[in-house]
Amino acid sequence: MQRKMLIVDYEKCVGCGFCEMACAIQQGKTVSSTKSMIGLVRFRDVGIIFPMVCQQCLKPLCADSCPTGALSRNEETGAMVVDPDLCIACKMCTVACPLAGIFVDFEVGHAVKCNLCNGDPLCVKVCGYGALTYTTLDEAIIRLKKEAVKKLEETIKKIVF
Amino acid sequence: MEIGGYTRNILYVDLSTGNIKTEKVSLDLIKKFLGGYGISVRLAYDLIKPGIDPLSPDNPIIIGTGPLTGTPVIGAGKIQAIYKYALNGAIAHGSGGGEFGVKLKWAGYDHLVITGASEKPVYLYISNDEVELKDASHLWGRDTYETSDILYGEHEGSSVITYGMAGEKLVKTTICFMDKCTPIGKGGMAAIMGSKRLKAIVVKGTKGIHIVDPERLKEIMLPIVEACKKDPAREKTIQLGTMAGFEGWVTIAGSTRKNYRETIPVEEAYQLYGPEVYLKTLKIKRIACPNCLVACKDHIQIKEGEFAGLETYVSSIYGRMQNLGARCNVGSINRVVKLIDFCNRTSVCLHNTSALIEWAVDLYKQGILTKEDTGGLELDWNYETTATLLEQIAKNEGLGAILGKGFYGAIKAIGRGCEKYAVHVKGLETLFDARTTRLTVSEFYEVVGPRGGHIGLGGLTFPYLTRDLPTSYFRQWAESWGVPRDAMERIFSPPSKWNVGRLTVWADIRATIESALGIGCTRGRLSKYYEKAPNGGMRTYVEIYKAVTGLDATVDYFIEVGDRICDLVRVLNMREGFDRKDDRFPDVWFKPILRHGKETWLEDYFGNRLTREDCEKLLDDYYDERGWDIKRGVPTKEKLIKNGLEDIAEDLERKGFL
Repeated sequence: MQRKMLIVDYEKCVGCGFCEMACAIQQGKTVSSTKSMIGLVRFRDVGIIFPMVCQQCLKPLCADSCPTGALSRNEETGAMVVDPDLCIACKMCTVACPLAGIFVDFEVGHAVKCNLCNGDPLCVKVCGYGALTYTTLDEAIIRLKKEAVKKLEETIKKIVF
Repeated sequence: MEIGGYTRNILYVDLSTGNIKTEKVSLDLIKKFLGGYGISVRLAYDLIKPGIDPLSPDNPIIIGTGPLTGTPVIGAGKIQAIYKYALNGAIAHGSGGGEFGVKLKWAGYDHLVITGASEKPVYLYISNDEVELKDASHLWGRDTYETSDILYGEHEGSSVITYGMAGEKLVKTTICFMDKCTPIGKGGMAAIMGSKRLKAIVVKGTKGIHIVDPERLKEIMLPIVEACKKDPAREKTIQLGTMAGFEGWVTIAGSTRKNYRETIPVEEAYQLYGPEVYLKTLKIKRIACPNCLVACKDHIQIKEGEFAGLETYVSSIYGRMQNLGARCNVGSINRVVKLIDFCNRTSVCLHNTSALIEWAVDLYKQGILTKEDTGGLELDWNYETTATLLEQIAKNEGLGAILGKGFYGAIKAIGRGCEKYAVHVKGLETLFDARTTRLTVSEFYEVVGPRGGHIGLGGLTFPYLTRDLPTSYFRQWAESWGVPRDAMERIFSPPSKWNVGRLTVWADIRATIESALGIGCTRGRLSKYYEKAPNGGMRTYVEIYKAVTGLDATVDYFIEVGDRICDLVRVLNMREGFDRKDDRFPDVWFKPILRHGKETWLEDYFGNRLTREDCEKLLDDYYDERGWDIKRGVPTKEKLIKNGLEDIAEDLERKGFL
């Protein structure tokens, strides 16, 4: 079976933040953006909203930078996961990650990150706008191609008519 | 005891003394008024002394989040502000659904109460336990967008409520803006903040909020979200936002123009302001309130033609098309956007003023206003007049200074029989015309609601833009929202019909409970998703409340609290002198209107013509359903006591109000 991945389409995001709040209750009983593994970054002056979440890199810098080997891949879901017993909260991973997809939660005392809800991400379920999807590479490619065709169609219309 | 959802803190800020303190909300108060709007209304009873000048330091601004605000529940970003309206002296709400409420809650506060007035311009900064009044001299004189951007720069990740120069000039037809695109504060909240020299409220919150049973909450929420995503109309909602409602407005409601004399021809409306023009002319990025499935807000930019390049924000754009497009006949979507931008930046309330301008033009055409009044300006329903008068209103000068007082103030200032042409309830413009839509809950509530005309609490837009739904639909609605059996019998009598006076009571109770919980949409767009939940809307609210707070609740309990809050809102306004005489159906509703070229009279939902006497009878039914004194249209002592408001009844009696 092909592995699925979490795909972010920021153009479709309307900034409702349902993903953020839902993610927080996957982690515990406090709802707050600081407890959420997915975070909306808002550039209010230019009106851009960007959902930021770990992309489960194939060559993960977080794991490379970890001095204790606390980060490993869950082969079933493909998610990079933190072993709280091994993590010493040195924060090297947070420096290494190019997407700010991992951080240290001081309350729990170790690094935390998206684990794809063990293969059933809640953020995707609550996103009502298609900005977050959880899908296989095949499906993603087909969808992207379809969207590209639609854009082409619009362009062709402009030229021909 | 483990309690979630509530922070149980009220933050008090006195601008006169600079004192800042917090007080605990008692469990008693929570049990009696639930939270949010409910507790705010109770606070208002003590804080708003009868007869105060709305623009004096005595007028408090009470902002309330509910127990569900800031939790992963659909539409959980709702706040209600309560204050005495500058526009008409009513005590009513200003609603907003942006991020402000979530951040306030996460900062650790259920309510924010602002009293007094500052000598110098200040802004209120709240970041968790850090609460401070900061100098705002660099912001004074700046518009809404500039002020917001400066404050975002100074306070990363904050949410901002602010206003532009019209609020500073204490213009009564003004409104505030939350994060540039969410209007909040009907009835002149910008002027009230201006009178306090409070330029902005900035909030950051990272403490978060506790939830007692996250697993149960997920179990309840997910099927509702799932059903919404599968809705066949979903694609259209995502593509068009609120413009998906354009068709209903122009064809069913029939956008009125020429001061309520006719509706705009459907073809003309589509050609100038319709969804196709919207998609073609504007570059659009939709924006949603917290956890909202509708995304009624737009970040727009004009792509081509007049004012090309202009970038602005707008909430519920189709309503603006109706007001500026149809009412003021500005002529193009580009001009509508240009004027939206002007209103947002200056904080002039577009709904108030477009109706006032439409009226002023009529007065000019009737010869009541002359060039002497207009400073030589020729008035007509067009872009030039609208733009000029909006500017005058914002600057508080010329004819605009008179219109900016609202209908009550302007009628007094102009005189000369001008009130004959003024269409308003309690000094606020009507948004729905009962002749074009028929007399449904939306229009009936405009007459009986505390704020006056315009949309009611929680968007009592029900049954929204329809003219021929079967009675079974309304019965299902009532069942979903927990209307008790005895009330059902009264509403559906005879069973084939429904009584609008009686049904309005229950629609109000539903909206009141949502507002107390801190959820819902200002326009009621989200209720339909809950309404279709397997257990019905109200039971779903109860279940969500239990999962979040851990407190016990039942449908009957919610209904009881909702009814109690409604009574208290009426009491607040009774103390200001409002009663049955103010629940007045506009005269124009009893004259014909040209609806799509056809002479149309006021009708009930079943197509029967209604006279003023018929409407007065429906009003009797409304008060009767409330259990109020039918003659005065206010709660009786017995009703207040029955509703657990003994202390209020006693106080009112002692002061001669009962």
